[in-house]
Amino acid sequence: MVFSSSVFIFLFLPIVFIINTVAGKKLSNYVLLISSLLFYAWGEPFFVLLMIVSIIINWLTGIIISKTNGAIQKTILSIGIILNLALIGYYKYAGFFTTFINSLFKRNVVHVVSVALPIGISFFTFQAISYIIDVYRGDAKASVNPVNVALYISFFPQLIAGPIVKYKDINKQIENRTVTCSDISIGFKRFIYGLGKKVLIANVLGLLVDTVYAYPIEAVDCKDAWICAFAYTFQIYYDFSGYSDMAIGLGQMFGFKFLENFEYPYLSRSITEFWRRWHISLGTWFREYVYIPLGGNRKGALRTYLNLLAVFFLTGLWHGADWSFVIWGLYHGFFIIMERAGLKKLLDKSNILSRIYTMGVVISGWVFFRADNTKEGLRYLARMLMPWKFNDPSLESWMYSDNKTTFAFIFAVVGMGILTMIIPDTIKRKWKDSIFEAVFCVAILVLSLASIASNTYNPFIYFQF
Amino acid sequence: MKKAGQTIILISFILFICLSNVIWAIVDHFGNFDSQENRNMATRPFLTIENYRDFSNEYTSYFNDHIPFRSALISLNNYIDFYYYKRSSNPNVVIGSDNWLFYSTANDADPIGDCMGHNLYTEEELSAIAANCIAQRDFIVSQGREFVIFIAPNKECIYNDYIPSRYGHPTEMFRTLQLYNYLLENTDLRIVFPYQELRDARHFITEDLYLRQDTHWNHIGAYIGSRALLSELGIQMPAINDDNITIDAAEEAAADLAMMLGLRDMLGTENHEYNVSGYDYHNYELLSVSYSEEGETIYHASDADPRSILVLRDSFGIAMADYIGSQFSECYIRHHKEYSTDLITMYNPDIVVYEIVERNSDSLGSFTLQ
Repeated sequence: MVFSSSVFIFLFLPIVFIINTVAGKKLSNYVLLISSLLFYAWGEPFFVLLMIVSIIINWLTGIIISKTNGAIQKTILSIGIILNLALIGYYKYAGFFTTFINSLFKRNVVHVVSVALPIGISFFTFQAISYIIDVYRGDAKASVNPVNVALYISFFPQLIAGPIVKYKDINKQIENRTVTCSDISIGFKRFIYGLGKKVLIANVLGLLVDTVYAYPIEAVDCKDAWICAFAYTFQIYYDFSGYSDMAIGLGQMFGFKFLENFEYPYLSRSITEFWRRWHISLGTWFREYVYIPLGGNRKGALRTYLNLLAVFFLTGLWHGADWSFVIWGLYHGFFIIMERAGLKKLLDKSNILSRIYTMGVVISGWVFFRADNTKEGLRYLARMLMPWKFNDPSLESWMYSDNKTTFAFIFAVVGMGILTMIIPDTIKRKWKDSIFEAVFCVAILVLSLASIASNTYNPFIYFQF
Repeated sequence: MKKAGQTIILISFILFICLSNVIWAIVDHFGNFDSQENRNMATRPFLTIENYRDFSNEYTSYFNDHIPFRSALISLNNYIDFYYYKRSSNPNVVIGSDNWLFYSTANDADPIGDCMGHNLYTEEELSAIAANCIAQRDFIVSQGREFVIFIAPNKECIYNDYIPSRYGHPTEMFRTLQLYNYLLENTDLRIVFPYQELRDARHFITEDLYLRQDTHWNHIGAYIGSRALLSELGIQMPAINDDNITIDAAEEAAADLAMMLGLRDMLGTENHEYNVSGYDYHNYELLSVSYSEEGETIYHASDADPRSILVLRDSFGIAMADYIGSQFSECYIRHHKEYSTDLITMYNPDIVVYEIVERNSDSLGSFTLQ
């Protein structure tokens, strides 16, 4: 079940909201937990049991950590982390690793495992690891009540696609929170913005991207490749940030304040800055639980660079079990290292050039992210960078774009941060929570619902029995 | 002002989300919101152990077909797509000039590609189609009956100048014309393909010959097609621009392409349907009428041509029915999906006509009457 589906908007959300409101503060955690498990079971009717097992193991681990100390405590923590990593390692990476081992030895040394991937395992596993580490560090107390831990790990607004919430940032809200009408209104407004981003921009541009990629690459010339690259750049941003907006909005509607996950990343002037604005919760997770424990930047330049490479290797791998994701992660890691080594000083001299550089690196990186494999990614990049070699266009622009994609592009460019940069703060303050904004949001909501309904329309020219 | 803005959002949440199902249940009870999709809508599944794995998918399919205010939301979205973005919300429908709609799909032949000269037959394919048609003809003729094949032209070929130029330029030789010429030149089959008659008629009458929002011809186009068929059968009808012929605007018309866009109620008014009168009706009686696939339509015209005729039709034959039925003593019209040799025995026709729309003309290579 995704937030932009009719079942979620018209069935799940109203029912859960009404029951949660009627149940009151005392029963709210139970209502939200059951709802979250049902939410997950809707998409994973059997893997919900896996998540429940993960919750129980992590809750017990937290309890034991809080009651031990010294080497035993550290051992329990290590076991807990290993169990979580084993879970994600098996379900997400077993096939990848076994294929890699066989390719190293150039024969079938191990049986290639093909395992179904539980939805959201990357997110809830990281949240679980965050819980036991925060308890170990004393940043949060272990919860005696398993419902609290279960709700933290499985809470439906952030279960499937984040933001990755650290336990210490939310534990007090789980124990005690209030919901005001203002929270519901502001939260729903945030949800509407996210829904509009996803349905009215990301999905429209996604159609363009999918159409281009459906054609053989030989049909794609320089212009098509760049349009597709730009479209994907905006598709992934509006899809992901839109989903985060919906998650944050939903959280607020139920009394939770999640941290921001995106901060206009395409306004960045360096890749270093980009990673402080893009998927912020993932970046801070890796910084707190991987980069800093490895030594961060406290052990000299070479060790810092190695730590950064490790973090971005893992960042790429976290996104998907494929070398194209790993290459994408290392690609970003390379530029961050270059910026640390001196490139940043150069970039600081010009706002415009630094932004062009950043967008160039980011857009090129997304090509690897979207392509089916590394080779295809390289072929697309070649078409983008060497137009003189690929100028036999059999693909025409009308085959993948129209007025609607043009409008989506315009709104995508304006909404990526340009509007917020040029509009004065006084006007922004007047707009926020004004009647004009409310009417605008209602219009976005109606258009989004219309688009969602339209996707369910499946007519036949002849009657289908 | 801030509170007013927040209040509006809160009210919209309550109305659009929390109460939408309740409001819709009331509205639906008093209104008529039948689906226009030409399919059976999904039914509500009930959770059992057997369907536990698939229940969420089944329920999602059911709920998607029953979203509150679904048809209004679809119309809104597709209206914006059509009028504001000038785009088709259905990949199988192409929007041409003056809101003419055309059918474009690889799953049901390639009507636009065909008229642009793509997909020409190979010699082997033409030969195979000819062989099958001859075999079926011989079967009918061996019983002492006449046999005629009738191909109703695609709208895409008659109105190809309304198709956006990005799809290419119409060619003089296209797939069905290639087939028609081949059968004429290499066999003695009686075959009627009123492509030229319809193209010529566009020059001397101003009315549309096909429905703008539908794949089918209107009653004017059907008259011209029927006239060509009847001429092959030795019956002369007045030309469409004859002084005796009267063309009057008719009321409703089908709009299957507008339906595919979810805009049948909005675009359907741009369809132009007509009644054609002024030819000799021979006092015909309509003894039975049913245009479902299983149904039969039967005419009797006592002072018409004494032969009886069986027309094995598709949906294009519906508009031809009155014109053919009024010219023969007995006329039986059945859908060719319901054909069996029992029909020949039952109706005992002097003439058998096999009518097929151009985009299905490939089936001439496989259809059987034996």
